[in-house]
Amino acid sequence: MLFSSLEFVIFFSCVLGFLFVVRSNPVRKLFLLAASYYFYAYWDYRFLSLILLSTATDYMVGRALGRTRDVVKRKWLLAASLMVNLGLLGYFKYCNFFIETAAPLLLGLGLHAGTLDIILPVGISFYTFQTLSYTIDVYRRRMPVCENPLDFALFVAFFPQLVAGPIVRATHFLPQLRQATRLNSEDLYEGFRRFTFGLAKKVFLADRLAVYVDFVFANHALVDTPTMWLGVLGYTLQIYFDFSGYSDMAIGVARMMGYDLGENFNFPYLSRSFSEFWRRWHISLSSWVRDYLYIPLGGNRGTRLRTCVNLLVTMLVMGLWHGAAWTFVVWGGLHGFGLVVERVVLGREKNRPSRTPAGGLLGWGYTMFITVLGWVFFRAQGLAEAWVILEKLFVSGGGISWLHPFVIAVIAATVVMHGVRATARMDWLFEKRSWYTPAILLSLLWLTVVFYPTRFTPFIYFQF
Amino acid sequence: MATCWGGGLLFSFLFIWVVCSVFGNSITPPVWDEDLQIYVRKSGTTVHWRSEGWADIPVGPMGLDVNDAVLLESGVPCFALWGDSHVDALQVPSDERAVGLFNSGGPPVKVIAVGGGGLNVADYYFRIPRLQRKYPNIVGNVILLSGMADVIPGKTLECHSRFLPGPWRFEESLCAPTRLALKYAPLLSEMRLGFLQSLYSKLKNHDFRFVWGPETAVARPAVVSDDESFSYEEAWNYLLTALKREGRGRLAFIYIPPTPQPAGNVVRIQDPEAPLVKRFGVACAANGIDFVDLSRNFQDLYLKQGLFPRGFFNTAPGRGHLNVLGHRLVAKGVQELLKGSR
Repeated sequence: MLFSSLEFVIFFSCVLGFLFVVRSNPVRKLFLLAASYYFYAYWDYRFLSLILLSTATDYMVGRALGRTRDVVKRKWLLAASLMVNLGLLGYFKYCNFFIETAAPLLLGLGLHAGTLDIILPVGISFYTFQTLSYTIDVYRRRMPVCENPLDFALFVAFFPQLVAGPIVRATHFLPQLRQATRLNSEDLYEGFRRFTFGLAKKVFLADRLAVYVDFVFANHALVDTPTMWLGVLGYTLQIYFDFSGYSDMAIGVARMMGYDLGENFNFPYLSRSFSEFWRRWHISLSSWVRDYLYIPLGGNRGTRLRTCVNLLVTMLVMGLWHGAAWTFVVWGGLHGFGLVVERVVLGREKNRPSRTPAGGLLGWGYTMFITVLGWVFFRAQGLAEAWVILEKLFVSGGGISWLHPFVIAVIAATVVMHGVRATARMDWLFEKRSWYTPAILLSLLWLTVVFYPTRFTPFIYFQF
Repeated sequence: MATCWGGGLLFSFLFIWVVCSVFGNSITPPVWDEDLQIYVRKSGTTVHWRSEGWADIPVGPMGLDVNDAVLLESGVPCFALWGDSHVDALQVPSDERAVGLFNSGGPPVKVIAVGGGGLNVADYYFRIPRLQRKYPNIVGNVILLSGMADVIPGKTLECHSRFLPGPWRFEESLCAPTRLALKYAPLLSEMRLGFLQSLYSKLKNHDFRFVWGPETAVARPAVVSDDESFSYEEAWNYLLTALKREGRGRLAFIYIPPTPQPAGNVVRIQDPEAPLVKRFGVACAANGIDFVDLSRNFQDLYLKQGLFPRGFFNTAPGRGHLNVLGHRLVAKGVQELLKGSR
């Protein structure tokens, strides 16, 4: 079920109505769990079994970890959880990628390797990482075991964040389930504010940019250089508005019910370095990868070379998390390269000298340039296509010219808004409780419903 | 806080009203036309078209562009250019439509456009004699075909007349606007509140689904009848004879192809309907009817100049309705047709 659909509005109104009437916490949680399973089954009920399997596995592993102090046993339990969760993820998401990659090798050995007909279950990467974080934290004794199966199942399947994040940590979410939060005007207001901003970002901006971006990328060999640039910049904003819009909606929906999911975006395109970018973009994933991959690999505790290798490996995995294709690996590699260059040239972040305005601008330019080029790989259907697009961007060539005024206007407005925020630190548009906030929210709502696209545009991050 | 929300609601309504007045398509109230026996746009209104191209079309009597209506009522000898939304041409300003471009050359016989979304030959069959009865100065009819489906029998398009086989016949069909539309459209149009109507129809036409997935697609009924136990030539002979009989003066056809069109890194040049177009041209010739196929002109526009006859600054190149370049080609086609040079 899409947050931007009428069905969701009706579904969520019913959920809110129930929470308003019922005060008993267990009943509310049971209802929320049922609603979450329905929310997921709305897409495809068959894949609910994967969520149930993942939930049952990590709940039982968690309890078993709580009962034993035997180090070897604990390791085996953790390995079991990793095998089930990563096994499911590996099969559904990466199986065909590995087969395709190995196909030339197998062909050389006289074996024919055909890909399998596998549907990628929506949100599998998100809930897998979420449950894994719980098990690893329990294994590390960083959090107590969750004894209540209802709480744990709801933590895994809570519908606002189930299919596209934010990836919520158990340490953050499980304590919120202990007592019922009464619906209150503060939460409803703030949740509605976040939801409306997200909805406008997704429906009014991202979906309308998508029409242009889809044409340009589908016809990249035909368009001229300015059109290609506008298409790539358009995608840079489309993916931001699409994903941060979804996160805003998820955070807003949860907030209206009295739950906090944390933040997932913080003006990433204002970043003046790659390390800053990853503290602002998809925060829940980057912090997950930092805590459960980068630091266990050694983080920045070893030599400079070792740190660079850790950074690269982490970002390659980050790329692969986004999709089972070499384009995503290259995208992750580019970001890893950016981080490594920063580390080599500027040293550790906390030791870097404070930035001058010119240095900040230079850092921003460098970060944005590689980020924008990275989106080419992220969006392209293959490495060959990405290469043609890059060639188009840098080798001036003729072709079809289409510079859509809406795309130009959105880019210009975004630049101005970011500029104002970066320089004056003004937050007037995002002011939480100003006298004019209702006017802004209702205007955005009108824009969204009046200019609701006629064609179906799924959220980009659903595919991950 | 309640005051803030009340004020916010008022402000937001004014905001969207201004935005839609500038960037939204307008609606025009439908009125019944006794002469044409159909619902047409109300005279004296203006169509503001924004979603594709950018034009403001003043509406005259019988829902025609006011320039065409003035010409028609002045008694000047005219040809009527019939067609679907490509002739209606809400996307381009009046003087940039094919008829506007043609008439700007000061020809002794003018051309007026009589178009409407989704019209086909069966619609023209009923409307040509009615219009010519009212306006004796219409000396002939030119029909613009934007696809061969318009002349293929057996189609059942809602709210449009039909050309049917076995036995060959025409059936008139029309959809009346709802009572709600008739009652409120004038007010909404007057106050530029078309966005409320579009919102209402979005809600009304939304297919709600609350059962769990996966969603199974339901096949739509075929637009073209499966019954093809007839020869096209036979059908067209009947069609052309009937149109000639019902209309006064010269009858001609102009065909515009859907190509050239970018389609995934290649520009599709070849019209998939080309063989059928050729056969229709032969049928026209056999019935003494002029037929102009603009396929070559459309192709050349791209092949020689890299330009597309369709698409606007706010829509994808090569797709959708005719832009001013496309209208220029049609105007040229009409010119050559009426000169008798083709």
